[in-house]
Amino acid sequence: MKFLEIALAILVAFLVQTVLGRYFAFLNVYLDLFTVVAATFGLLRGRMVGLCTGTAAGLLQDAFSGGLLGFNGMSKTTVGYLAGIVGHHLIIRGWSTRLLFFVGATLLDMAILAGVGRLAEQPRVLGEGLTPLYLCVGNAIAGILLLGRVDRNRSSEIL
Amino acid sequence: MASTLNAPLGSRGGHFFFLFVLVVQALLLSSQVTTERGDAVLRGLIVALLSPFQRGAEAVVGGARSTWNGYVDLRGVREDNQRLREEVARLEQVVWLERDLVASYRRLSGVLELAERLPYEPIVAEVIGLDASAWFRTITVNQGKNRGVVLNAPVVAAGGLVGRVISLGPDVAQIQLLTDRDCAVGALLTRTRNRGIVAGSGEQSSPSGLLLNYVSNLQDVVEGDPIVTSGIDGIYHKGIAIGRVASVRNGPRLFKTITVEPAAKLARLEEVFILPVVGDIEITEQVE
Repeated sequence: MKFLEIALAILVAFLVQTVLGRYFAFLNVYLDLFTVVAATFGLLRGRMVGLCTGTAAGLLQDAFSGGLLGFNGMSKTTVGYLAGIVGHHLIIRGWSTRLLFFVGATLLDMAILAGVGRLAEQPRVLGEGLTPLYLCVGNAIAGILLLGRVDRNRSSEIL
Repeated sequence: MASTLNAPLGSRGGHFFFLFVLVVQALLLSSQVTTERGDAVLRGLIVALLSPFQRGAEAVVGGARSTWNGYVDLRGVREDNQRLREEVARLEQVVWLERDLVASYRRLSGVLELAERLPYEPIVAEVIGLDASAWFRTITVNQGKNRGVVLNAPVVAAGGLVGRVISLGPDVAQIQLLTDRDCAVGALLTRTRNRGIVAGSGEQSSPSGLLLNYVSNLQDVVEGDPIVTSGIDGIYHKGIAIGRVASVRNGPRLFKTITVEPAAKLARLEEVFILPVVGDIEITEQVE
């Protein structure tokens, strides 16, 4: 059930970004659902689930982005893993803390992408002007919604 | 896989696994930077596995989008239709204006050509009024005494003879057309050198409005024969084109009944040339 839930979330993220993104360009600019999925499942299911989710989501994103495989893989893996550690030590409740959590996850993802891109001598342009800020906001909104949804499923499983 | 994920790895073990995954991906990344082989295999595998989902979703989203666009397009058809009708109407007007410009150009080219061929300085006048009757027999032009126009001055246009000045004002002149019943011009058939008098028919006997009178039944006249002014009337210079024989038949008495097609387009005059009164200059025949 857990595996299917993660697989479904990654598949939905993939379809939204690659299919809907063709018609609604803002989805690819202001939203990175792979980061959101990795962070969400890392936070709720622990660091190992976050690690695997992030790895799968990141590699998938790389495969269909035309870039080198591993760029997003490394960043999402790290995000998912660290989200699990954060979720283990901190209680992330309420929309404001969750918003901060997803903003942090997005910034971390961007920082890793920039760093790895530099090391691989393939610098990434992470957006100009306020685009990174919009990406943070978009991810935070999507993350809060997804987190609420997964959280409800998790509660019903426990009950 | 699920059991691995559920098993609580120790903190150190988890960190090692995390580092292992990162190292694997870093190796993967570095291998792609140096060679493309690993990239193609792994990427191809992932793409092959997930492409069917992507294609299916694309088909669904594309179909929905196409349906929506069709609906929106249908709504816009009426407005487009109205807009296009207005555009067509506007363009038709533009086309008519362009055609008018082309016609004006051709007409003025003819006028200019005639002006260059005339051996003396004509007064160029623009037609500003027509006789109110159905068949125009007089016209009014915008040049008069102030420009040196005198009574009985011959008037020509591109093509040939138009008529003569019959009344004058300071800045206007009235011109009697060849087709006027009271107009008569000494004429010469250039092919046979036979003479006659061209007069307005009053439209009943000649659709063109002109008759060539006083040509004997014994004379040789055929359709198409050019007719020019003979100069014997003392009004018109010799050699100005009047027209061509349109039809000819023997008359009941001594003379043929000959209708003449005017050389000048008398019903569509816009510019004319008022020539000096008769002198001793002849101009070139201008029958087309």
